[in-house]
Amino acid sequence: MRIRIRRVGGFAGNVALGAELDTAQLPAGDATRLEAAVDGLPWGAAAAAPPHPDAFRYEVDLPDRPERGTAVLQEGQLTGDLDGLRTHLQQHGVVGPSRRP
Amino acid sequence: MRCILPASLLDKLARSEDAAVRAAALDALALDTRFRIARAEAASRLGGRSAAPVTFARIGGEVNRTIHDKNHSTTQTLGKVVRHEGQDPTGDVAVTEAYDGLGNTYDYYWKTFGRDSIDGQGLPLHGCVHFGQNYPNAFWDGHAMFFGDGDGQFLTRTTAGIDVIGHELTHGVTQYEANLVYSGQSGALNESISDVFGIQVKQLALGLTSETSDWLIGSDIVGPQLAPALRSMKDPGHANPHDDQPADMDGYVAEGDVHTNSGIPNRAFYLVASKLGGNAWDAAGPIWYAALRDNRLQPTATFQDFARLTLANAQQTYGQQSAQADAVTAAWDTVKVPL
Repeated sequence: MRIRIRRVGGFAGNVALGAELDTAQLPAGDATRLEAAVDGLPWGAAAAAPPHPDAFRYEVDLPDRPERGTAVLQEGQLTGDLDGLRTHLQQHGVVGPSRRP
Repeated sequence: MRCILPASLLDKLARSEDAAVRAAALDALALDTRFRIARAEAASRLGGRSAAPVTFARIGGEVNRTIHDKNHSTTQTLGKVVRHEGQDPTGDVAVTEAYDGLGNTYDYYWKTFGRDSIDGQGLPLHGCVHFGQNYPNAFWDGHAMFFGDGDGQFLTRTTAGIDVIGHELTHGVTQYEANLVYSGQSGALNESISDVFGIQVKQLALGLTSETSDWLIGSDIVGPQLAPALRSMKDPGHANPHDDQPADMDGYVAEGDVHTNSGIPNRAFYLVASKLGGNAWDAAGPIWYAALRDNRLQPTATFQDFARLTLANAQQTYGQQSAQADAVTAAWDTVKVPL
């Protein structure tokens, strides 16, 4: 499963950090857990109000499942099995404009 | 009188053997007390829109800072106290910078507007350093400021930016004033107001005029990927290769991030300040501050709503045909926000 994640907002909110991850490249157990966690995201739901100004938020989408739309997460929601997405973004993220491609 | 002789010296002179010296010192002390009461009364009236009723006004003008060390935790609790107001530096540069930056911001609001802290009523300021692991962000959570150490690529140590600290604390000021909703145009205004006052905090602290300031936001905290700065108030969209801020309403990004469209009102402020010249806080800052505090500014205000209030306040303060009012009109016209 290919997963795209973008970190938007924050003090530097006029730029964004984006990365793509393919679960096929993860150990089988990790891949299964991440896929299950991603499957349970609030797909297509309106983004919640940010907890405070300059908060980060994360936009997740699946390039092979565009019909699911985007899931928008607040910082505190990127925990547990989803934390691997944040780590991947920190290590492999590429800076780009904040507006959606 | 108070500006020349410290109160402790006056106290001493009031006990002098010489009757004439005693009388002069007592006169000076009485005058000093009247000034202090007048200032306290002004400060009590200057509370934000959500200010609590004041029974005993503070004298004001004295910042109360506490710096906490989060020790890389991401809990939004204050953390261990490492420096109280008046204590010496600890040797941790982040603690020193946070302490000084909170002081610079307090000074800006007090010296320019007689505003006693974020809420206008002497709110103690808390700064929490070393938030998270290599956390590339800084924020005001509604009660305190949190500073990440940065990831080294995107952002570096966030305490290093005086404008960043002024920006974050101004989110607190906005919260106590217009409380602008953090999405759409009101959200972009909220962001812009933080940049507008954040850059002035830096300009006042470093003695920069509208001409000598670079009008860059975040230039002291950017890593190599975002160098040389995050945003340019003078030239939105060109602070770094990824900066996507528009410079006028033709480039307004529907559904854009609040930090993207804030480039438009940011530039309007730069245009007013640079047209008038000198210090940004001489006239441009007070016009923006009056608009922010204006009861007509609603939480869901648009750029146009805010622009009209800057013009109304410029006209009221400086006159209908004043250079200040003309500069405001010209600036909003340049960024294509119709008045």
